[in-house]
Amino acid sequence: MIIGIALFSAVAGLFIKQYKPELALFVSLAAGAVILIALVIFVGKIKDELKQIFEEIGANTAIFSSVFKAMGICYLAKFATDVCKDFGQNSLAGKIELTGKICVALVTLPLVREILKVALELIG
Amino acid sequence: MKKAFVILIVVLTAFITFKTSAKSIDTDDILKEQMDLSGVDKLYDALPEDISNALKDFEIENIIKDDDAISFGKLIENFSELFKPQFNDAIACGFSVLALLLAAATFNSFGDENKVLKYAVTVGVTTAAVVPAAKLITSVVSAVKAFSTFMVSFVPIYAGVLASSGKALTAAGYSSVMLLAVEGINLICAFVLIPLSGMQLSLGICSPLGEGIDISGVAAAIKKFSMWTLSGLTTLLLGFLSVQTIITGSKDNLISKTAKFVAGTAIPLVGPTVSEAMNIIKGCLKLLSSSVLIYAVIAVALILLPILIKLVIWRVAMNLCSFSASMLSLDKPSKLLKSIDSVFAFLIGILTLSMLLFLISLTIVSL
Repeated sequence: MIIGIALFSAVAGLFIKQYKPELALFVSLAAGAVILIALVIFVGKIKDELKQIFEEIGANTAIFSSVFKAMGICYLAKFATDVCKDFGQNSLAGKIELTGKICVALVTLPLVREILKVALELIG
Repeated sequence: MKKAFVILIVVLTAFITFKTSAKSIDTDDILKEQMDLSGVDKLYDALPEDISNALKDFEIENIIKDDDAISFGKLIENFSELFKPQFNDAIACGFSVLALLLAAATFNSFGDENKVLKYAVTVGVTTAAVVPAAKLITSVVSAVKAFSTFMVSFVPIYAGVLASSGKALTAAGYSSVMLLAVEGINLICAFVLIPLSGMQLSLGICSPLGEGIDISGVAAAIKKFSMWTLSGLTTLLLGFLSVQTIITGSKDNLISKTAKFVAGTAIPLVGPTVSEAMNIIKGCLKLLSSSVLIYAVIAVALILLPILIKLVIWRVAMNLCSFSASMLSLDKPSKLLKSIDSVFAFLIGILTLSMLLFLISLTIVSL
């Protein structure tokens, strides 16, 4: 389905680009959004499955959730950056990248805090 | 009538004499008396609560009183039961780390070399591996403390048993050297080695979080210093104990043989009997000494072996994860896992040396 949407939007974009180039970008943007939503659904299923496995082996699911969130943020930031670059907004793309990095730092902050706590305990 | 009276007197005398002599060579009574006097019962109280409970589960808390209590099959069965729970944490941690590594590798395989994601994965792997590793260091500290507490109670008792069995000089040398060694190891572990391993681990876990920090040299130096200190001390103590035991053992032997000779020749009429009685008492003390030895070895095994096995399993898990990280081209997690593994190797070294010191010293003095 995703491949179908991508191919259709590519062909449609090419046609529209000949007559209305400013609309072609919106077509690719809409197709990208639909693909992303479909991916989020698939990734959600994978996440639930992996979480269940983690719970079964008695591992810390908080770590897994944080890393998975970081992955999600990376993908979203990359998608947004690419779209901005398509529109020729390189400066905005850079800002999105920076926001993504800060968000990843925020998501991993509890883990970093835990690591530093352990390190301090070990030294003390 | 007179004849019958004489026969009755003879029979009664023989019966009384037999009963008296039978009582005089009742080794169980001698052994029981020697046990009460040596204070071996105090050994059980010197053990930590979990080890006492484990001994109860093993049904060998009264090993000194009951010779039939030791069964090799039962021991193996109970030890295997004791080691099963040690696998769970390491396996859970290993799987968590592997899952994170695979997730990162999957992301990389899409062709997106993302530094931010690599950082997130490294942080995740660090948290998954380091928190249980730090707990393990605490367990090692507790095990070393429990070992030294037990040894402080065991050494004087065993030295007492050795002294009563005619090895007075060996016992004096053993108790002084071993008490010094136990206190020394305890102090060095508590104030130098365990903090050093903690530092090594904390440096190891902080370095992947920052770019361009490589502490492998510091970690190697700490490891080298600690291992040289421990092995040097152990070699020195065991060497000293061996030389001392060779000298004192000969003196003890001489004193014992002289005492037997004097008892056999100088005491009129019952001299040879006294000499033989000395042999029986010595035999009982040897039995007591062996029982105390076996009890101590099992107790020390129960104190140190579970944590030792746990560390070995953790090392296997960390090495496997490190290899996987290397294969997936994730250098930072691989380095981190290797540094955790080196801390575990160092802790294994401390525990093994403590055990070796205990076992070799016992072998030296009991020969």
